[in-house]
Amino acid sequence: MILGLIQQEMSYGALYLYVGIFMLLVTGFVATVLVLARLIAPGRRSVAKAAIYETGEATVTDPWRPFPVRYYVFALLFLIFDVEAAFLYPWAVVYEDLGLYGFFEMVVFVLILGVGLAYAWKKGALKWV
Amino acid sequence: MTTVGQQLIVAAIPVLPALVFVVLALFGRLLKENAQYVAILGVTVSLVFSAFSLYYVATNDGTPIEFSVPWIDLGAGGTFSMGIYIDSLAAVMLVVVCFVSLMIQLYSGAFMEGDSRFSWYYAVLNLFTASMLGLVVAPNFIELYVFWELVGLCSYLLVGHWYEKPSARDAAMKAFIVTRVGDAALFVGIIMFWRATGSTAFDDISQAAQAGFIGGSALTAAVILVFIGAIGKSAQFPLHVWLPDAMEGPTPVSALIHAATMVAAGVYLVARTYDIFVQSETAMLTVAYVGGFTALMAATMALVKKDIKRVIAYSTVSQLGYMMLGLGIGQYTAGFFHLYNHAFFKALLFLCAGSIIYAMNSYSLAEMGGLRRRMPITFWVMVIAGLSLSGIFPFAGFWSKDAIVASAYEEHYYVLFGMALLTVFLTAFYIFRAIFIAFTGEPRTQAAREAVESPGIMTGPMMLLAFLSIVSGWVGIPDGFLGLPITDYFAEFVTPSQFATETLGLEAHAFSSTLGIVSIVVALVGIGLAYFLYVPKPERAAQLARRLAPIHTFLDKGWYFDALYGVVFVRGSKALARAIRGFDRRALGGLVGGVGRGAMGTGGFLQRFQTGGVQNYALFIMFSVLMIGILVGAVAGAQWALLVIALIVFTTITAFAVGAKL
Amino acid sequence: MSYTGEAFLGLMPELISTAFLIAVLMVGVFAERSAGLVASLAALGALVTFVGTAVLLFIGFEGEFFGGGYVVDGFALYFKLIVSGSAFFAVLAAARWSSGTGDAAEYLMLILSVVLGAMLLVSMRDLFGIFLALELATIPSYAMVAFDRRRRESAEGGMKYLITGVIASSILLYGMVLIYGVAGSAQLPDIARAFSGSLTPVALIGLVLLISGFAFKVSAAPFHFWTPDAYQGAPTSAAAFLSVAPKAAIFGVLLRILLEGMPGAAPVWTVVMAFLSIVTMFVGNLFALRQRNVRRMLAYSSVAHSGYILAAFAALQGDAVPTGVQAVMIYSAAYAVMNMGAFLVIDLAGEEVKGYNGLFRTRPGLAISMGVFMAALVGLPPLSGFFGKAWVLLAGAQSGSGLVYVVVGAVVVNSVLSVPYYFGIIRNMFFEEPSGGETAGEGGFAVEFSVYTLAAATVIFALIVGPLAALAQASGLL
Repeated sequence: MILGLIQQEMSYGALYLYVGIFMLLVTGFVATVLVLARLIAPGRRSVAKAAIYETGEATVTDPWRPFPVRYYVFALLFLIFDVEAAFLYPWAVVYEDLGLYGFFEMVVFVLILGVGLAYAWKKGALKWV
Repeated sequence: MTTVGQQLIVAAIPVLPALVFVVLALFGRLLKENAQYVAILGVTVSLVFSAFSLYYVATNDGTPIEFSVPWIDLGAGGTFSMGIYIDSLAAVMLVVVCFVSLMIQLYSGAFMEGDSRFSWYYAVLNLFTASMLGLVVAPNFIELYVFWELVGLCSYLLVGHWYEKPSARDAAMKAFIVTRVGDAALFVGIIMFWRATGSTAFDDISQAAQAGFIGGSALTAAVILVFIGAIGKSAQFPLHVWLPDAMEGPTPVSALIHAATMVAAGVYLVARTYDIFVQSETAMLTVAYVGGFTALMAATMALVKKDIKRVIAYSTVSQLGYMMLGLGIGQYTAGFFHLYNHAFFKALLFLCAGSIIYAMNSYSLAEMGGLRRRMPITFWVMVIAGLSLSGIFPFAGFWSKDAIVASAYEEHYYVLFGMALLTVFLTAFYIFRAIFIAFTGEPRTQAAREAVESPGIMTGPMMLLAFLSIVSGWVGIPDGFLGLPITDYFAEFVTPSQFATETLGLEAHAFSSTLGIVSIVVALVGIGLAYFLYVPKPERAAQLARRLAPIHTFLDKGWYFDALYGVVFVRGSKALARAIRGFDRRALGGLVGGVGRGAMGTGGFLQRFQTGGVQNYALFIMFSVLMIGILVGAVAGAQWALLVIALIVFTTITAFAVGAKL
Repeated sequence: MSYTGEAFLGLMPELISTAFLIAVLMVGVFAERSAGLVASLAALGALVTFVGTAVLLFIGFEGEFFGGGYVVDGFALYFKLIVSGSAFFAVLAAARWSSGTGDAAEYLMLILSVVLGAMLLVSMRDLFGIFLALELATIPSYAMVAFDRRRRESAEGGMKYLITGVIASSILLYGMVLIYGVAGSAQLPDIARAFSGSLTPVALIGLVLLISGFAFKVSAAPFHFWTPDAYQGAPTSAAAFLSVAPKAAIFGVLLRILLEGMPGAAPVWTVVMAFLSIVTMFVGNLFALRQRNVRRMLAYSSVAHSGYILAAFAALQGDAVPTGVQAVMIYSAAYAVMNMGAFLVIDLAGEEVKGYNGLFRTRPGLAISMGVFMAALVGLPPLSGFFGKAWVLLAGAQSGSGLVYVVVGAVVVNSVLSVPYYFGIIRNMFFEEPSGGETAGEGGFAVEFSVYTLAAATVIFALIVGPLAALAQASGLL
C-alpha cells in the first residue's frame, strides 16, 4: 500500500523532472549569456550611455509619479475593441457553420460592447481635456 | 374526540392575549389608558375558555384535548408539528395563569396610572401571558422552546419597563442573559433527544426512551440539560441571581413573573416531561437536591433583606426549590400542587407589597412601620398570605408544603427532609419579620404616617386572592384526613402517568398527623421568634444583627454569588473583549509594522493604502493560508511534511512579491 | 433548436437581469434627470428576475447546458431567489441615496451586475466558470463599497477590499488551476473522480488554496479583516446587499464544489470547516462585543454568522449531509431577511449606538422592527435566525462526529455570547430617553417599506420555513 503510494509519487515526480530539467537549462542559458557578455563586451562607460532612452527626448522628470487617470480610461476603452477582435477572429472562421443563430449571437455581443462604448462616449471619456 | 369548535376555543386561549398585544402595540397611542379594558376583556375570555377546557378534561376522566398540524417536514429527520395538548396538568395551569394574569391586569390599572408607557405596558403584559399559555399547551419541545424564549423576552421588556432607573436596565439584561444560559442548555438537550429518538414530542421521546433508543448516561445528560433550562427559568441554584434583581420591574409584573409566568415555567417543564425525567434516577436526584438546597439557601438570604420586594423575591426562589424537591423525590402531584397554591399566595404577597409601595412610594422596610392602622385591608390579606406561605393549617400553603415535607421523610430522604424543615422555620420567620416591621410599631417616616389604603380596584383583586390563599388548597386535602369523609380531588385529577408511577414504584402514604403537627409547630416557632425579635423590643433584632455581623453581611450579599459571577464572567469577558478590541485595528495594522513603508511615491491620497495596513492584511492572508495548509496536512497524514514545505515556500514567495509590489 | 430554447428558458433570469442592467445604464446616461426612472427600472429588473426565477422553480425546471458546465436545478434556483430578492430591497433602499450622488444609474447597475454574477455562480459546475462568475459578482462589489468616494471611510474600505480581494482571488485561482491539473478537467464530476481515494500533495495544496480563497470571500476568520472596513465604508444599501446576496451565492457554490466535486475528500475539508467555523464564530462575536458603531458591529456580526453557516459545512458527513445542505440553505434565507433589515435600519437611524437612544419613543415602528432584527440575529424563536441555528444544530447532532459536537458546542456558547451586543441596541431603543439632537430621519417610502416588509418576513419566517425546508429537500443536490 505505502509502496504503491511511493511509486505513484515517483511517476508524478518523473513528470515534473522534465520541467525541472527545462528550468535548469533556461537558468543556465541566461547565466551563460550574461557572464559571456560581461567577459567579452568592452566596458567603456559614459554619461550618455547610462541615460534613460526616451525615444531621443531628454528626460525631464522622475518617471515614478502619478499619471493622469485619462491614460487608463483610454487603455480600458481600447480593451473593448481588443476583446471584440479576439472574439471576432475565431468566430469569423466558423461563422458559416454557425448559421443565423451564430450571426445574431455575435450581433448581441457586439451590441453589448457598443453599449459600453456609448456609455463612455456620453460620459465624455473620449474627450481629451 | 374534540370537535372543530372546541379546537377553536382552546386555540383561542393563547391566541387572544397575543391579539391583544398586536392591537395595543398598533393602537396603543390612541387608546391610552383605555388599553386596560381591551386587555382585561381579552384575558377574561381566555380565562373562561380555560375554565371550559378544565371542565372538559375533568368530565372526560382526564382524557387530554389534543390536536396538531404538521409544521416542518425534515424528511428522514421526521416531522415537527405545531399543536395543542391539554391534559389535567395543562388545564389547571391554564386556569391559574389566566386568573392570576386577570387579577394583575385589574390591579395594574390603578397601580400604573399615569405611567408614560401605559399601553405598551399592557401590550407586553398580554404578550407575556400569551407566551406562557402557549408554553403550557405545547405538546413538543420545539413549540415549547419557542414560547419559552418569548417568555424570557417579555420579562426582559417588563423588568426594564422603568428604565429611568439604570438598575432596571441592568436587571433586565441580567435576567435575559442568565436565563439564556439555561435556554442554551435546554436547546442542546432538545437536540440530543431529537437525535436519539427522531422526535421532539414529549410522548414520543418518553416512549422511545422506554424502548431503549436513548438510555444510560446519554439520557441522563439530555435530561439534565433540560433541567438546566428549568433551573435558569425557575431561578434555582446556581442560576438564581437574576430573580432578586428583576424586582426592578413594576410590582404587578413581579407578581406575574413570580406567580404564574416565567419562573413557574421551569417547574412546569419538569412536570410536563416527568415521564422522561423518571427514567433517569440520577437526574431525579439532581432535581431533588438542587431544589432542596435552593430552598434553604434562598430562605437564608431572605432573612436579612431590607427591601420588602426582595424578601418576597427570595421567598419565591425558596418556594420553587420546594417544588423541585417535591418533583425530584417523585411527588409529582405534591410538587405541582404547591405550584398551584403558591401562584395565589405569592401573587397576593406581591400585590400587598405593591399596595404599600403605592401608598408610600418606598420599598424600604426601614421607612415603614405602623401601617396596620393606616392600611388595614392590606395588613390582613398580607397576614393571610404569610400564614399560607408559612404553611399554617388550614391555609392553602399547608396542604401542599406538608405533602412535600412529609414525603421527603417517608421516602427516607432525611437530608432533604432536614433542609425542608429548616426552610419551613426560616420561611415563617422571614415573612413575619417583614410583616411585623412594616405593619406594627410606630411609623418611622412621614410617608408611613400619611399612608392611605389603596383604592378598591387594587384591594378587590387582593381580597379575592386572599380568599383563594385560604381555600385553594382545600381541593387537595388528603383522603380521609383526620378520619373525615374527604376526597383528595386534586390528587385524583392531576396524577402522574401510570408509567411514571410504576417506574418510581412509590407506595402511597396516608396523611401523617405527626409530621403535619411537627411542621406547623416549626413554623409557629418561626413566627414566634419573629414576634419576639421585632415587636415588643425592635432593638433586639438590631443587637443580634450586630453580634452576628459577618453572617449578616454574608446573607445580605446573597452568599456573594453576584460578586463571584461578576469577577469570573463579566470582568473576564470584558477583559477578553478589550484585549481583542486592540487587535481589531491596531495590532493587525502594526503586525509587520512599516514593511516597505513610504517606499514609494509622493501622491498623498493613495499613499495611505500603499503602506502599512493593506500590506499587512495581505501578509496575514498568506499566514492564514499557511495555517489552513498545516491543518490539512495534519489531517491528511503521511504527506504532511511535503505539503507544509511547499506552502512555506509559496507563502514566502508571495509575501515578498506582495511586499515588493505595493 | 429545442436545446437552444431550453437553454434560453433556463437562463431566463440571467438574461432578464442583463437586459435590465443595460437598460438602467443607458437610460441613466442618455436621459436627463432620470434618477427616479432609473431606480424604478432597476427595482423592476430585480423583481422580474425574482419572479422569473420563482416561475422556473415552480414549474420544476431542471437542465444542464454548455456541455454540463452550467446547471439549473432547484438548488441553484433557491439561491437565485435569495439573491434577486435581496437585490430588490437593496435597490429600494438605494434609490433615494443614489439619486443624491448624481451617479444613480451606475450604482444601481453595479447592484444588478452583482446579481448577475451571483446568479451565474450558483449554476456553474465548472471551476473556471465559477471563477468568472465569482469575479463578475465581486468586481462590481469593490466599486460599490468605494462608491461614496467623498467619504474617507468609503474610499479606504473600498481600496482595502479591492487589494485584499484580488489577492484572495488569485489564491483561489491558483488552487483551481492545481485542482484542474490533478483532475485533468475543470468539471466537478470529473474532479470528484480524481478526488476519491488517497489525495496527492498537489491536490491537497489545491484544496487548501481553494478553501482559503472561498473563506476570504465569505469573510471567515482569519480571512475576515476586510469585512469591518468594507462594510463601515460602504453605502448602507451596499453593505446590506453585499453581506447577504453574494455571500449566500458563494456558500451555495462552495456547497456544490465540495459535495459534487470532492466528496471523497470530505474527511479533510470537514475538519478545515470545523476549524474555520469555530474561529470565525468567536472572532466575530468577541470583536462585535465592544463596538460602539452599529455598522461595524453588524459587520462583525456577519462574520459570526458566517461561522454558524460554516458549522453546517463541518457537519456534512455521514447521514447528516441532507440536513447540512438544508441548514446552509435555510440559514442563508433567514440571514438574508434579518441582516438586510438590520442594515437598512442604519440608513434611517444612523450608525452611532447613541442614535438609537429612545428610538421607541420617537419612532416606535422602526424600533420594533430593529428589535425584531436584533432578536432574530440572536436566534430567538420564533424569528428567522432561530431556524437557521436550529438546523445547524440538527445537522451537527446528526453527523455523529466528535469534532462536530465541539463545533455545535461553540455555536451554543456563541449564541449566548452574542446576546449583550444585540440586546444592547434593544436596550438603547427601549430603555433610554431620546438623546435629543439627531433623531431618526424619514428615509422615504421605499426604505421604510423595505424595513417593515423585512421585519414582517423575519416574524412570519416560522410559517414559511416549512415550505422552504421542503424546497431545500427537493433541491436536487444529493
